[in-house]
Amino acid sequence: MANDGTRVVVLGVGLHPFGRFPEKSTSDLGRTAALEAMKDAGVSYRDIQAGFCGRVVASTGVGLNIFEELGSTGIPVTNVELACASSSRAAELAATAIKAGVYDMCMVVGVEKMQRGMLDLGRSSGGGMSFAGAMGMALLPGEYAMQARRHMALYGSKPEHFAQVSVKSHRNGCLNPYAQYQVQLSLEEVMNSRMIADPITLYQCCPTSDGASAVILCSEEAARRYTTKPVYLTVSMGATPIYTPGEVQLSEGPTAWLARKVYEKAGLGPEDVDVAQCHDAFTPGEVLTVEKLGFCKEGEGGVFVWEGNTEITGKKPMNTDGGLLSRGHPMGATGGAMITEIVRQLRGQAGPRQVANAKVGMIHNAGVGGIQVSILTT
Amino acid sequence: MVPLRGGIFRIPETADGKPVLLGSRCPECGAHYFPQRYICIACGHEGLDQVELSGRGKVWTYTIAGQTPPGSLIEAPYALAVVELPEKVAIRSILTDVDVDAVRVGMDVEIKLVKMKEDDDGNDVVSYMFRPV
Repeated sequence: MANDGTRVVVLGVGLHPFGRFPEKSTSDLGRTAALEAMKDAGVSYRDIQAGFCGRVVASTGVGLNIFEELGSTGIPVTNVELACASSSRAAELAATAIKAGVYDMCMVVGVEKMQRGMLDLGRSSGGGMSFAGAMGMALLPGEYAMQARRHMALYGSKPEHFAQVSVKSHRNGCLNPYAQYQVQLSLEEVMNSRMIADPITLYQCCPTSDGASAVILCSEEAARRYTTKPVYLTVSMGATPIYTPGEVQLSEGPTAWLARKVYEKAGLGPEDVDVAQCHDAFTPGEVLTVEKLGFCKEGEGGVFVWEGNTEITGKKPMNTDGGLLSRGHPMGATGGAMITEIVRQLRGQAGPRQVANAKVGMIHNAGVGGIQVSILTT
Repeated sequence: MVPLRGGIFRIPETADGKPVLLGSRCPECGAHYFPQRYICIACGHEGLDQVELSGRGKVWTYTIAGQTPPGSLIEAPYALAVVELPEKVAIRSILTDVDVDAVRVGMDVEIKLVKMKEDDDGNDVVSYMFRPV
């Protein structure tokens, strides 16, 4: 979705709190988030012309069941899957349809209910163990850990630089009533927790979670009936890894390349960003992403975080709602939660987490094998 | 001996021999890949040659896993690495015969045959790992 012509407004946002809700179904979670978003937008379900649902492990038809909970108006509903970036990609698809004039108003619901413990990524499509799974190589924290170890070897970043991300995220999570973990952790507690994949300790891993998010998008013209101070989804674009001959790489996608494209489409640069969300599934996520979004030079991400630049009061506040680490990470819901926090920040509704005078927000959401980068503006 | 997964490495004649990784080489531009693929992502050429890849390389990055993922045959703690071969191919591999505290980026490593388990017929199921040179 490029910034050319009709602008798309984020009219309403809502969440079901993130955490563990064994007594609730995905439809319960999704309905709660959707009702909150419709109330926030001031619209009724009859105003929604198309539904999109971001989900990963939730079963076939989950989006149709959630929208059926809300009403039976005959609208098209589509499930979208891009691993942990599913609802970010769903929002891009909805926004693109609005820009194309197909719909005036769409709702994106993201939802997930997850098992406790490490994700079981070692299964092949046939159900047996894959080669990587049997060999102990299907290890998601291991992927982030290996990026961190490469960064440490090249640039001298230190284990405490990564750990500090979790300290900061948990401090922010304490200010967010929707967060799964509203508990402050000291640097020592983070670093001394059980080693998962060196240098990543347990408290540097996001939890698995239950939760839902909902985002209502509409055309600028439709938004005029509801608000005089719209927040725009200015640009949202996705990417998959790019092969560079003769270069060994390890990432979920070309974040720096995509960020440059997004900045160009938005007519903005890293210096214009007031508040950001990044994919801190594991702490190296933030250290590496602040570099790739251009907030600091390559190699300086560890020190940039360590010196407090990503705190709410810092130069580039990141994950003001606690991020994946503390807010939680119900995979399909995460993209919508990132949009929700940026919208609340840009409206000045973030309460104790509010970044002063936030006008431009940025989002980096990574799924296994694909990424999404977005800019929102007032 | 039977491979843990067919088509990605060749089993040696004897248990003390070395496995050979099977990769692809583009006849058009010379780019190498592992595992094998059909289309060259560097130049788009279709139909790549099957080649044997080097059995030695350098640790490009690594981590020490403190926990075994569900269903894995490996005991924690263990070293997981990305090994860079001279053909500029990245191989994910477990490192064996190494003190996990001694693993470093840039370490020279070579391939080794490892017995992972026995199958129902009593055959050794083997795979490859890398070890310090």
